[in-house]
Amino acid sequence: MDGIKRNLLYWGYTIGQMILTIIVMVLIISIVTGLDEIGGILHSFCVTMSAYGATYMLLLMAVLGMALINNHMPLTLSMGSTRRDSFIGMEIMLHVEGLLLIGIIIAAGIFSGKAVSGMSFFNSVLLLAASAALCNLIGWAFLRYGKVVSLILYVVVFITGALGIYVLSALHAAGRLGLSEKWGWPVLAAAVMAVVTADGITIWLYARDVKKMEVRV
Amino acid sequence: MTDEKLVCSNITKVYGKKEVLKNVNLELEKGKIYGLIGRNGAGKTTGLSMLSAQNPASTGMVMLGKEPVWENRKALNHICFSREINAIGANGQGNGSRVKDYLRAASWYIPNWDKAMADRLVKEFDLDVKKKVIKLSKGMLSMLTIIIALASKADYTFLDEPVAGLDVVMREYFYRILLEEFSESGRTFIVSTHIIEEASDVLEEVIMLDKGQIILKEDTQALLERARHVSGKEDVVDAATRGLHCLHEEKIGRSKGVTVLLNEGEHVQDNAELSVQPVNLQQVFVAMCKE
Repeated sequence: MDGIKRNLLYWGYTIGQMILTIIVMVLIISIVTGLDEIGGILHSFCVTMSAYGATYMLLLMAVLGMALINNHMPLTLSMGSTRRDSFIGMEIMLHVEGLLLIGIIIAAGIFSGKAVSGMSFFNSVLLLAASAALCNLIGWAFLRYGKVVSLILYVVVFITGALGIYVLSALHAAGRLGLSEKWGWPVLAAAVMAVVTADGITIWLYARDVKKMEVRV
Repeated sequence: MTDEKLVCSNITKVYGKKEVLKNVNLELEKGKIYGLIGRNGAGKTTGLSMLSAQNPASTGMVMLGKEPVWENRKALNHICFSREINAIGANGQGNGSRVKDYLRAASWYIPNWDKAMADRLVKEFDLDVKKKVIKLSKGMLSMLTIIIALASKADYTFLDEPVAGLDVVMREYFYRILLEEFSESGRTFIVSTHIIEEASDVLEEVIMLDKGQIILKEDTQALLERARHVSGKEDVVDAATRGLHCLHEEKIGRSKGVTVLLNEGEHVQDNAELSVQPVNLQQVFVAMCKE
């Protein structure tokens, strides 16, 4: 357990620092845009966080994927950690701190007047699993195929993601996206299951290659 | 503290088609300073990486007593391989971490981390802990490597090129603190270096690696006592060194010089026609590894 504890401490600090970067970034945007707002900076922060927090989180997680495997995992191994302990510590903190960020996004949403429903829970799980899967996928590609492939993957994922959001927004605006009460929940549940499975698969792929990872510094 | 030996058996490491380590067998005892010397690309860093389980071996095994070292925290708690830290990583990206990030990570991961010692060394080396690694000079990177190695208090501590980039004053300081730490703690150190002659007084035993194979492992003093350079007229030198273990020979006109390793009971007499001189560790190394 000692080895996992050391890794929880290290990864908690490292990933936490990066998540803090997002919060500070949103805070800066809020200060710039919120000075003239009626609700002030705090209200502006909550509105920005609830509107763009999920997108920022996905962007951060993809960048994290490269940084964690390129800089931090070799450092933990060179300090005497086993690959197993380091990987478990990284995955736990990635999910726990991702969840914390989602908590902040939801809290910001509530504060800015958004309604919270049962669907928010599914949406949270969806966001957490999607961001963790993205982080793992990019990290795994970096480890297995190198920097260029992971960068290409990063670009492809984001172009696809942006196109997807654009198409969905257009369909939504045209009123052609609405699902009936009957189908709304099953579709969301299926999406959550698919993304959670994807997260599991990327963890498995990643773990398989980390097992024989070489430290190159 | 462990009294167990660190033993590697039949270690081979292959990268693609290149065999970097070839069937290496090595036994390291507790309480010694070993020098690991070899030419560039001989496999020194790869060997140390295998011993500390930082990289997997293609075949073979490393054991600390009865415990395998690979992915074994119990064994790894006794080993520290303070790698040469590079400002630019293997993937060409700059190392954005700060000195204090490395020291913090070391304090979390290394079970016997001596913070007081680390702080003292940081002060004595005049190292700015807030500085980013990418902005450190080669000498400063070496200092950071040394601080992590010495403050780790690990029973088996490996230093990879610790004096690279250090000026002569700092190199002397490093050897002094290494000896102080060694005499106080009785830890085992393996120091890989290219500055052989300077380190030879500190190294109790020397391990020579050439083309992925250990070609010699011997007590430094015993090795120097039996190594001789014999020079004179070619025929006289040939007669005097016949049957001896010749490491290297060079000819200039009718003169010849031969570096030999004498076995027990063997000797070469110095006379008017023959010069027999002791050689230093660097000369032995060059004689053994010259193409």
